[in-house]
Amino acid sequence: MRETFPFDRSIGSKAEIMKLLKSTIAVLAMASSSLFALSGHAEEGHRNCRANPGGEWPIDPAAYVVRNCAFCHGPSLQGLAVAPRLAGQHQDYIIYQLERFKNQERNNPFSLKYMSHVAVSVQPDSYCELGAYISTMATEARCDGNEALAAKGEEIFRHGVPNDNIPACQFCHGPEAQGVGKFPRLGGQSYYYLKRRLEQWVEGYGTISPHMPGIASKLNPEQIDAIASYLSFLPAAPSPGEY
Amino acid sequence: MKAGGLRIALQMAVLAVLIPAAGFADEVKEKLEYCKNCHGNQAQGFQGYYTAPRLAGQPVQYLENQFEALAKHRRDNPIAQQFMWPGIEGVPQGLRAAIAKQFNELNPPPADGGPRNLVSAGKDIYDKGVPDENVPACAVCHGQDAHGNDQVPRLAGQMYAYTVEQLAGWEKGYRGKDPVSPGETNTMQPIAAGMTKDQIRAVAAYLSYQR
Repeated sequence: MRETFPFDRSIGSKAEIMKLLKSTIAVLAMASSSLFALSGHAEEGHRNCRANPGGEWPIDPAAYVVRNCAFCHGPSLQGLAVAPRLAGQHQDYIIYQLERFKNQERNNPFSLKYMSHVAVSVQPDSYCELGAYISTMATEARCDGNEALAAKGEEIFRHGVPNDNIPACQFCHGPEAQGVGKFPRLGGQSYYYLKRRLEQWVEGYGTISPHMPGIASKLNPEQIDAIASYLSFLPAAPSPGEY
Repeated sequence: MKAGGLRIALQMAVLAVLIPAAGFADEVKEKLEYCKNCHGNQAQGFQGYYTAPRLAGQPVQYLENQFEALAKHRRDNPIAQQFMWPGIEGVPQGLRAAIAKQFNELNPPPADGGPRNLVSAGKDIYDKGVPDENVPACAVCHGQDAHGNDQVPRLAGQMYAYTVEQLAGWEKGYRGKDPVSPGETNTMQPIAAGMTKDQIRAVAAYLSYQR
């Protein structure tokens, strides 16, 4: 004879009820973690390296990076083809993106095809040390933009375009595009990567930044070209790293 | 025929009033979104590489005075020059009152806080001043609730880093240069000068949590 809970005769055996409970809990857990991310409180679920700097991960981050990242991101992580330069990028930004790749919030085609699989196998325990190590790697400017457009790009970078309601990039990204915390270092990044990212913000992929889609939607192709060009020539400048 | 012509004329008149009005409201909305890029999506203030102050709940008169001071380049600290001078140029005179009103009506909770362990010392200074240094209680002008009024700014919920920057930077002479009432607008100069760095941080921390 099948057992049923007194309050719901339509559900069947205990096993079925347990299954229902488990899947409800799983759904609630997923919903609450994505609510966390959407509400901008992702920091709370996100690794807090200041409170917990690690130091217990047994693998040498330098060796790890050569074995696992350089294949796509180039020797010394300077960037290669479509894979951006990671060297010199901020710890907070690296960790935040690893999480976004892993949960597939960052879901443009290249991210889904490559990074979402890679990110799954990067151990969360390693995040702080990996991020810290990468942020100390020396950077070189890619210098692969259009020099003729750099001056125009600088004007937009420094002052935005007030009449078109475009804010100044340097407000978040710093006066030398060195970035800080979750705001990535853009200085010296590849023109091709930056251009593609600026275009991608308005293509309807997952919103991993609350700010960039609105800002990028106001840029025309010439402005994108100019900004990406200007940035590609910037040498690495010091950043406070974190706030 | 005549009645039809009159009706059409009336409709055109109504549209002539409504369409510019709708256009104006849109302009204000778009400009507000532009400001919010840096000042926070509820104008609660925002920390990028630089700190943008909270504008939400600011008295309208204070905001309008700041628009004026920035447009006339009287408020000339390096960050104002980089961001607010170009920014204000993109805010036509006719929009400013409407924008100030919109900011005034926003009421988000404080954005971030300063060091919590300084809050009670800060409250003490806010409420009682520093009598030995002739520093009056901030509450006297800025209000017990730190909401300000008229040309006196709201301090409640202001970004910690911003309040510290302003108080510590007052001696550099970047503010208080209204030619019409210089004495009035530079009230803060001797007050800021009478506070130590520690006292400034304490008050800023206290204010950063006030609603």
